[in-house]
Amino acid sequence: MQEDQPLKPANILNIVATNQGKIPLTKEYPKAKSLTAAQVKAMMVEGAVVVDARSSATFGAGHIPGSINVQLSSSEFEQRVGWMTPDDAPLILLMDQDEEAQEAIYKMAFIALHRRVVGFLEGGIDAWMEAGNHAECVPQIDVHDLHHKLSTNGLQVLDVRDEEEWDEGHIAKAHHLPYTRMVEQLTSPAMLGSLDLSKDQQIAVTCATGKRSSTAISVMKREGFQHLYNVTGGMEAWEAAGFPMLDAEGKVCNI
Amino acid sequence: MWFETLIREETGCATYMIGCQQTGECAVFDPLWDIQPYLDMAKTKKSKIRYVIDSHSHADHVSGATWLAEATGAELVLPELADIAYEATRVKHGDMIRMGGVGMEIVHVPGHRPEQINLLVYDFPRGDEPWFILTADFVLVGDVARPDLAQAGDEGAPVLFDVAIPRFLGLPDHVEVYPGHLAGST
Repeated sequence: MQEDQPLKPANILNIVATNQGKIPLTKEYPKAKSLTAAQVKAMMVEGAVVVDARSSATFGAGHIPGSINVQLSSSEFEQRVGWMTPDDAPLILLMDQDEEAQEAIYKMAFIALHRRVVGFLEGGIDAWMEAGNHAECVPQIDVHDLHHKLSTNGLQVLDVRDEEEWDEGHIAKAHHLPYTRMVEQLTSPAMLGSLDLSKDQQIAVTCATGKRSSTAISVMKREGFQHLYNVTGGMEAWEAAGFPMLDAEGKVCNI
Repeated sequence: MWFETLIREETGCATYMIGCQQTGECAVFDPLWDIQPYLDMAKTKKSKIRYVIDSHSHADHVSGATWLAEATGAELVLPELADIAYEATRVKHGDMIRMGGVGMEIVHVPGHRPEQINLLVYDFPRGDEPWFILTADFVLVGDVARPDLAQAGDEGAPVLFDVAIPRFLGLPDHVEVYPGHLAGST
């Protein structure tokens, strides 16, 4: 009876335990402490996960390999961090500006997720690279280039929006997997393996605006997908450019 | 009597504050983790927070109820069936909490959680009939809350349909409804 229900709230077990008084409630504003690149590197070896809270474009321009991109500006920031990171992993924040780390941990406290934050990388991605570490990129593709490449080479499209959004209009021949189904959740296993796509294919990933797709890409990169493109502006930009979309029945619905 | 809605836009969670001008007291129903907005509102209203009430053990957000009660000296009120490891005044179906002319009647609405309560609110100087109900995670916009979230669905669903919904449908038609969520998965 639960398969077609929306996802359970992130961090639900810890939230209930906190509200029942079985885990102590934090009765002050939590502070994220600053970490050096060397500390971050060592913690990652021990299983910590970096949450890169910058925009999709800045994440794409250079990020720590293995980091998960959840934009601080996204409406469900703390939910998405909870959903997309392993339940027991310590979290390291990477921000655009250092002072934003406090805003991020504040939001996370609303669902008791702040307890997992070990700190933030002071100086952000610059500090990481200046310490001699490698950074990876995600090419961003606009909808015009996407439209062109779909008709001229073998680029695949993966749409990571929810079911209802997909039904309202999607790109012909696109693959579909909601981004929240890519990772293991409380009641549902990870479904990334169910995709009819191989890890060496060229895949353009899209959502409504380009945020969730970047989150999805960061997860897929951890799983070994190598050639991913983030669609800037997502399906809203695709529709605004006047390109065709299909509805749930496979009929063109916007032209 | 005064009545205020405080919404956290990011998650659509609604907290309600009800006050009595006569006694200068107010109650906070389902506060979120950051208690500052409620302290600020009480100050604006020149009111003292007398009661902090949680409808149930929330599964989607951390409650600030124990923090708020400690910070203000207010009485912490929870449903009798709540499984909690801290001290609180326990209330059951039919109990009435009074602040001057304001009455808050406890309505037990199991289903989403076995312990969940709603508040049926009266402004007695205005009339003997209830004015509105705070439905927390029971009646939401266009639907009722999930019975399968923090328990097995086949435990929650029967009492939701047999007990909670008939209680709600038995209220007078004019009673206004204020849910605990405007969006999200509950």
